[in-house]
Amino acid sequence: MKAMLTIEGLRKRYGRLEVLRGLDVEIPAGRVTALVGPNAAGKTTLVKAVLGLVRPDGGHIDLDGFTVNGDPTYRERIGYMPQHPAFPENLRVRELVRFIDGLRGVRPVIDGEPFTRQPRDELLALFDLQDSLDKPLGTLSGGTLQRVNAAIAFRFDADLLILDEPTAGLDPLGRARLKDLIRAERTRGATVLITSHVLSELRDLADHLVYLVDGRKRFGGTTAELLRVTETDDLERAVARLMEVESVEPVVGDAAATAEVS
Amino acid sequence: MKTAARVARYGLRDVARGRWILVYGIALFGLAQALILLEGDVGRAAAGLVNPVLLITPLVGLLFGALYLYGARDFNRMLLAQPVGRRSLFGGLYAGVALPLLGVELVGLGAPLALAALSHGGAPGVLRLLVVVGALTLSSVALAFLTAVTIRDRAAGMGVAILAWLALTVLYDGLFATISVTLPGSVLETPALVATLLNPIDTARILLLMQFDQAALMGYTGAVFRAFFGSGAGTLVAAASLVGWVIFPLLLAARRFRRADL
Repeated sequence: MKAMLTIEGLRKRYGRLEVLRGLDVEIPAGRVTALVGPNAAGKTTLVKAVLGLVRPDGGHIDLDGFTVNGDPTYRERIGYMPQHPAFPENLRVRELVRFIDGLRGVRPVIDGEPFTRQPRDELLALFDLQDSLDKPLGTLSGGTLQRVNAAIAFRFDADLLILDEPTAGLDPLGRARLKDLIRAERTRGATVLITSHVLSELRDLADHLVYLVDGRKRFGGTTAELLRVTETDDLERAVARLMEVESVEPVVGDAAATAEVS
Repeated sequence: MKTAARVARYGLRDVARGRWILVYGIALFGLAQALILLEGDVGRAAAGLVNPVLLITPLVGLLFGALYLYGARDFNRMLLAQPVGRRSLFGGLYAGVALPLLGVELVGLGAPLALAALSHGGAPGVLRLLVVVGALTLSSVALAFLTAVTIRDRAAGMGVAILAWLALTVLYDGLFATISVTLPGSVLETPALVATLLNPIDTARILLLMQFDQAALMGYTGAVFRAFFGSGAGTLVAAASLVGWVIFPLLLAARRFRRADL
C-alpha cells in the first residue's frame, strides 16, 4: 500500500530527554491511522515534526515524495486540528476563516479559473457556526471553539488531515458530525492521522494503528492485525495488552503481523 | 512579504480592538494635555514629557510584546501548520504588535502637542520626541520578542522583561549616580559613553535632551556625551545607536524564532 507519510530514523531530543529514538513509521495513503501511546510516548513531537514545528535531530520525513526540510509549501496539503484551539480573542470567526483562507492563497477565482481547492463553507453550517460568524472568538465557549477548529482543519480538502484529540470538548452531536466527516474524507481519498486517548472513539474509525512507547514504535499495522496479534476482539483491550507487555517486535506498515503478544 | 502583511493586518486588528490599548492611548493623551496646560508652552511641555515617556513607553513595549508572543504561541503553531514560512510569520507578528503601539503613541502624544503647536506657532522638538519614542517602542518590542523566543517559560520570560526595564532605568541611573560621586569624573568618561550606547533608554534620553538643550536634566552620562561628541555628532551617534537597538534584537529574535522548537 502506498504511504502518504514515511518517517525513517526520526530522532529528537529536548535537552537530556530523548523523545524520539530513531522512529520508523509509515502512514498509508487514503486510510485513517490512529496514533496512540501513553503520555510522553512522543506522539505530539512526531506530529510537530511532520508539521515542521520542531527540528528533528536526525532522520527523514517524506510526505508523498516531498522531503520535509523547512520549505513550508508542503503544508498546503495538510489540514491540522490542534487539541487546544487558541485563537486571537478580538478577531471574529468570519475574520479568522478569511485570514486562514488568505494564508492558504485561496481565492474564489484565479486567472479566470476556479481554484482547485475551494474552501468548504458548508462546514461552517455543518458545525452550527452560522450564528457565531460575527462574534469575537474570545466570547465563544470551548465547544464552539473546537467546532471552529474542525471547520478550519477540514476546510481545504487536504490530502493529509492531522487531528489531535479531535473530539475533545465537542458535544455528542458535534462528535457524531466530526466522525461522519472523517469517514467522508476517507472515502474522498484523504489520509487521516488521529492522535487520541479515547480508544472507543477510534474503534469504528481507524483502519491502521501506530502505537508508540518511549519514542519508539511498538506496533504499526492494521487494526485487524492488532486484534489478531493481541488475541482480542476489542481495540481498547488490544491497546491495553500492548501497554502491559514489556516489548513487542514491531510490525511495520502492512507487513504480516509477526509479533507475539501473550 | 504578502503573508507577513496579512499576519500583521490581522494582528493589528486584534490588538487595536483590545481595551488596554485604548486605556494606554488615553493615558498618554492625558499626560501630554496636562503638561501643556501646566507649562503653558508646547516646547516646555514636550521637554517635560521626556522623562515620563522614557519610563512608560519601553515598559509597555516590553510587557505587551512579551505577553503577546507568549499568548499567541498556540495560535502561531496553528498558523505554521499552514503553508506559511517562519520568517513571514515573525515579521507579521512584530508589525502586528509594534504598529498599533506606535499609532497610539503618535495619536496620544502627538495630537495634543501638534494642536498646541499650531496655536502657538510651532514647537521645536515635538517631531524628535515622537520619532525617538517610536524608535524606543520598536526597540522594546524587539527586545520583548527576543525574550519570549529565548525563554520558553512565560513567567520567567515576563520576569526577565521587567528586570530588563528596571536595569535600564532605575538600576542604571542609580548605579551611575553612585559611581559618579565616588570616582573622579575623568576616569568615568569612556565607560559612561559606552554605557549610554548600551542602554537604548539613556541613548533616547540624551537624544531628546540635546534637542531641548536641557543640560540640567541630562545627568552625568548626558553631559559626558555632549562634551565628547558635541551636539551634532552626538545626535548622529545616539541616533545610530538607537537604530541598532531596533535592528539587532529584532534580527536576533527572528533568527531564534526560525530555529526554535515551537
